Amino acid sequence: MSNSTTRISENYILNSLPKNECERLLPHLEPVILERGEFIFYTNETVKYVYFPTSGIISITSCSEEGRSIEIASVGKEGMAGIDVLLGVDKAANESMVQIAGAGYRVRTEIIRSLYEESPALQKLLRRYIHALLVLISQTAVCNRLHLLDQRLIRWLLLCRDRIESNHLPLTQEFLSTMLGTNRPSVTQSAIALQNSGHIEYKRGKVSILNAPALEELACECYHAVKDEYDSYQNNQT
Amino acid sequence: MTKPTVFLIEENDDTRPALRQNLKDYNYNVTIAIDEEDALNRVADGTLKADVVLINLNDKPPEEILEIGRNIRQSGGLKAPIVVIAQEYGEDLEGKDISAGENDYISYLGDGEQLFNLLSRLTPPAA
Repeated sequence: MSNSTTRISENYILNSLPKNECERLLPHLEPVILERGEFIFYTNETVKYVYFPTSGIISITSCSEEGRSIEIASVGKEGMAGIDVLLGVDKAANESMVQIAGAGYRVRTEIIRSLYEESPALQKLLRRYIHALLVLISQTAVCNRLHLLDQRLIRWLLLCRDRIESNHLPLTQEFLSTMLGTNRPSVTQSAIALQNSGHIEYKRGKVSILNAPALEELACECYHAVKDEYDSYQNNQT
Repeated sequence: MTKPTVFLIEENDDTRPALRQNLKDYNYNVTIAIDEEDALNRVADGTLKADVVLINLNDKPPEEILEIGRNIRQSGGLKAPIVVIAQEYGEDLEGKDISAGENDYISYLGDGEQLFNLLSRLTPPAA
């Protein structure tokens, strides 16, 4: 579906390309709406398009044989979903689902591969982005294994907030529990504690961050490590 | 006014500490059992007092959990109402507390306030 309101400049990678290289990509960019709950990749299925979000968040989730899922990374307007195809494979290693609705652009896999081979700037940007994504994945693994649910919830809310640049997060309880790899009562109890201490407001289908600085104080080192890495990536630092 | 006591039977290691703390913050005394067996042991001598039994067991349908709760209540000679916290459910049930007879409820939590509103109706916390 086309979306006339989204702008290329709102995606960090597209906006950072030199003019001549961006112009080569331009004819191949297809505007898309990212609907909440929409799966853009399924595990072991061929990736036909890569996605450059300009708003919203796409979650990369890993699913066990029993059908339990957990988020291992996410992609917002700073990145590209479908990075697998630039790493020598045709199929997605994990599922990717739109977590917070938004918009963006998609490009056919064969086109992005071809442009990637020919564009040093795109190579440099995406390599740096892959490093940031690796930091996010590894820190998420640490946090999921070693930290209490309260800390995991805080990390997750703050990372969402940073991505969409809003304190109002449209997230259902069920969605939160899936992303954090736990059950609904656990998420509810952790959210109540944060609400009672005045850090968030938690209503059906919506979480509002009321005191972000205080929440950052409470956050574990995982949040800060990821934030620092993504800030560095978007400031073009090596 | 004496604080009412919640007998919390909570299997989930993520939920238990958070729920215990929240109950304390809402001015309840809390007695903890980590699973069905632990709960049966705790009520075995008939001395445990509780104003409400709050139960959440992993990977079981709520109706089955309710029957387990009733067995625990009977074993301990308790008169308290039972509240089962459901784990898996669709949006149609979200936010509802379904009466299951005998003053017992299955709670399909929709937000943070719901459980404490129900507990407050069943057994008001201390002022």
